[in-house]
Parts: sequence; C-alpha cells; structure tokens
Amino acid sequence: MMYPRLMSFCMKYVQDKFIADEIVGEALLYLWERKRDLNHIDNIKSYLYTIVRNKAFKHLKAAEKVIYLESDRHDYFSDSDNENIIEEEVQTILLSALETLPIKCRRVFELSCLKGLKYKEIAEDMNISVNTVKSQRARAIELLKIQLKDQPILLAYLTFLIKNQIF
Amino acid sequence: MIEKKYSNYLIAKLITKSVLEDLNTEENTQLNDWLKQKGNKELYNRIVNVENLQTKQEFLSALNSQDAYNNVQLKIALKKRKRMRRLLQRTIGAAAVLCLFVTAGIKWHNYIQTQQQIISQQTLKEIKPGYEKATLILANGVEINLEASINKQIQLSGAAEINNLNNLLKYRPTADTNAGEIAYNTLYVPTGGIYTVELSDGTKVWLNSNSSIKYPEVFTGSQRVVELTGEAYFDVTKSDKQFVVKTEHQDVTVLGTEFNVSAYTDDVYFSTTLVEGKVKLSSNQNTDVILTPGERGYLQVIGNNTLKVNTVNTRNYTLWKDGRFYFEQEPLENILKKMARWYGTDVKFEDESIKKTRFTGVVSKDKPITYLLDIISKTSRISYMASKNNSGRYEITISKIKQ
Repeated sequence: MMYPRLMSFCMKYVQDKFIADEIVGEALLYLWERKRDLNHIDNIKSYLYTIVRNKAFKHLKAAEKVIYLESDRHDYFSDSDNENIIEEEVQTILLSALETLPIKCRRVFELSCLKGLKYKEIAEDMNISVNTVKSQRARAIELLKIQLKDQPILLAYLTFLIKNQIF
Repeated sequence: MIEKKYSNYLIAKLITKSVLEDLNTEENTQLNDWLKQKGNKELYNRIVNVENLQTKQEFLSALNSQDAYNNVQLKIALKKRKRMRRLLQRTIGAAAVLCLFVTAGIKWHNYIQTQQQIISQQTLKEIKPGYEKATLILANGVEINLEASINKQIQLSGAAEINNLNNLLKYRPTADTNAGEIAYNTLYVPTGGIYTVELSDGTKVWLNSNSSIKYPEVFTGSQRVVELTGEAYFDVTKSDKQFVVKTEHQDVTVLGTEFNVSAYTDDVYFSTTLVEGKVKLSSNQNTDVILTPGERGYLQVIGNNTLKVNTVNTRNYTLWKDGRFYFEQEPLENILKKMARWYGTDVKFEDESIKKTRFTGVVSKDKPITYLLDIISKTSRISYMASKNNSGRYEITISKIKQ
C-alpha cells in the first residue's frame, strides 16, 4: 500500500525506476527487520519516508551525484523533502481514489475541482448538460470521500500486519 | 529551515479535503495559514495540477505492487535464512571451539586407551566363531582330525564301519559281531566346535565345545555306557538295554529319550535337562532322582554337592546344538563363559558387580564375537575390549561404563 507512494517519492531523488524499486524494497525489508521496535515508532509512514530518503541519498552519494555539505545523516526532512512527502501523500492517495471512479465522473471532477473550470465550460468540453456536470461532480466528491475515509484504516491494517509479523 | 507548524500528513489531508471541498472552518484556517508560507502556494498548485497528476498516474500504473511485494517477501525469506545460517555458523563456531578443547583433553586422556582400542578392533576381527571340528581317537590310539577328513570313510573293518559325512560321524555295526574285544573310541571337540556322532545303536549325540565322549564302537552287554566330559545332547534310540551317561560326578540312566547333559569340569553345576522320556540321575552323595520332561536336575559340584530339580524351558539348555546361543535371564558371567567356549577366548571382568547382570536373548553362533558383545554393550552400561594375552590366547575384557 505504501509502495506506490514510496516509489514515486524515491523517484524524485534517484530518477531511475529500477534503482527506486531496489531502494523501496530495501526500505520495506529494513522496516520488517525492525518490526520489534515498531512500538517505539510513532509514525511508520514518516519512518518509511526517512528510510527511503536516506537510502536514496546513500545511493546518490555512492554514484557521486550529490555532495554533502554538512553531514551524512539527515534526521529531519528538508523543505524539499517535506514538499515531496506532501505531494506524494496527496497525489498518490487521490489518484488511487480516482481510479475507482467511473471515467465520466472522474473527468468532471478533474476539470471542475482540480482545473477549476466552470460548469458551463465543462459541459461544453464534454458535450453534456450543466446539470449532468453538477450531479456527476457531486457524485465524484461523495465517492471520493468514502474512498479516502478508508485510508487511515488501511494504514492501521498495514501496521497491524507488520507488527504481527505476517508481512 | 522553516519552523514546521503542521505535519506533512496533516497538510496532505487538508489539501485533499480542499480539493473535495470538504474543509471545515478550522481546517480552512490551517490550510490558508500554511499556504501563506513561502513557496507553499506553488506546491499546492503543482500537486493538484491535472497534467502532473496524469504523469504521476502513468508512472504509478506502470508499477506492479504485487511484484514488489513478492520481491520484498523473497528478500525477507533470504534474510531469514541468512540469519539462521549466521546463527548456525556462530553456534557451530562456538561448538567447534568447545569441541576442540574437549577433544584435546579427551585425546590426551584417552591416547593409550585409543591405541588399545585399535588393537582391540583388530583382535576382535581375528576371533572366529567355532565351527564343526573334532578329533577322533580310535582304540589303537590313532588320532584323526575330522575337520580335515570331511566326507571320508574312516574304518571299514572291525566291529563297526565308521563314516564321516557332513559333520556327522556315523557308526554302523558290521556283520562281524564276534570281533572279540570291545574297542573304545573317543571323540573330542575342542573350544569353538560342535560335532555330531551317531552311535552304532542309532543314538545321536551332539557334542558341544570343549567336550569329549568315550563310547564303544558297538554296544555289547546289558547296558549301553558312554562317558562324558563337558556338554552333550542325547537323542537315545529306544532299546531294552539301559543307556548310561557317566560323568565325573553323576550317572544319567535312561530308556530311550532326549536330554541334555552338561558336565563341564569348570562349571559349578552339573546339569541334566530332560526334553522327552525319562531319566534317572544317580550320584554317590545323593539318592537317585527321576526327571520328567521339562525338568532340569542340577548338582552343585563345589560345596555341599546337593542335587536340585527345577522346571525349565528346555530350549534354554538344548539350543546350542542348533547353532544358537539361548539365554533366559542368564547372568552375564554364564553367558560369557559359554561365549568363551565357543569363540575360544578368555574372559576377564574388570568389575565384579556386572557379572550378575542378567540377559535374555537368542544369538546365532555363526555370527562374529562382536555381534554378541555389541548386543550386550548396546543394551547395558557395559563395554568390552579384546586383546591377546601372554599365552597367545584372545582375552575379552568386560568393564562397566562409568556414569
């Protein structure tokens, strides 16, 4: 579940899908190895992001693409790290929710909520009535809300799995 | 570094909610507060940009979460195995070091013993089980090695014709019954041998190791008399004439029957075990005793010379003739005495207490000596070792394994 987010996040640093895949895999393995310590880790998500970020830096350092000015360790995120995390958290979750929507419904949502187009513009663009746009938009938001409500539960489920060493 | 007022995840949540127009007043304030900070507005726009999202979606849809999951699982499995191996290696390493010390100690301590063991093993291989071999001493004093003259006619003239066929020495009276003097033959079976003789009246005698029997070539007179030292099993042909087995301490008188007589001079007991028919035991010190089948009469030779009778499993006392040792609740001392007779060894006990340990079992006599000794040592805390003593005889040393 965290995999797409971490992959996308990692790609921001290493720009190589294969390497990113490797790093994320290692990070998940690292997490698994420390499953006994998980009780002390408040936020598994942050923990994973940190691991991935650090591993990515390590890789870049090895590839001599990044030169550190101060220290090797990054115990806190830089502004760009934070931005990247926020981006992943919004986009990946939103996209996974959008996946579940019917195509028309999704298109309306994208044009209206994300692009900020007017109902009329959307109706013209999609060759549908304004009322249909309105109803589709409302339906999309309703469906997405339901989808996104499940997210924390899924995360809890992941934590549960890891802690119980099933994963 | 800008001081962080809100967590990344809260911001992410707020952005998502704002897209869905689901923000409450408080959340709205928080988001606006965050957006006021430098660069955040740009970030927000970048995130919710449809083109960016589409690019991201293309990237994500190309990912195979299942594959990734499997990969991680595989890595976990490998890691587990590695860890096990590492643990094992460490354990083995520690064990090896420990072993090294222990072996060094034991090696040093057991060096001489090991040397002895090697000799012991070699010696044990040399010890062969007994087999059919005997010496026949004719009346005229001529000694015939029956082992060397298998399947051979020994004597054609005289009162009896003597044939040696398939380990059986057979006497058959000749037509010439008035041959004058009765000629006595002696059959001697050395240590490690068994031999069978069929007397002129058809009586079969199995002669055990280290035993000898003296008998006439043909029976004349009112009694059939043979003299026995050691152990023999008799299958006497029925006849009006009494059959008498004379031994050092007692006589066994019978009328057609099967029985076993054990009269070794080095045994504490002289015993007669009756399988079939009826026998009478008579000795100087005791009144005559008549045995019924299944009974064993044993005379204590050393000491008070009393004669006792008990009921036994006759197989116990007669199985030797079929090429098997049979022991039932037999003290180790007796077992090894029998074994020593068969294999031609001496036995030495390092510990007196183990002499009385009792064993039950059947062992084929043609097996090597180690077979019997292994059975004993593997089922008890007894070990054995073989060596050659000064007189050139094999010696089995029996000792107790210390706790």
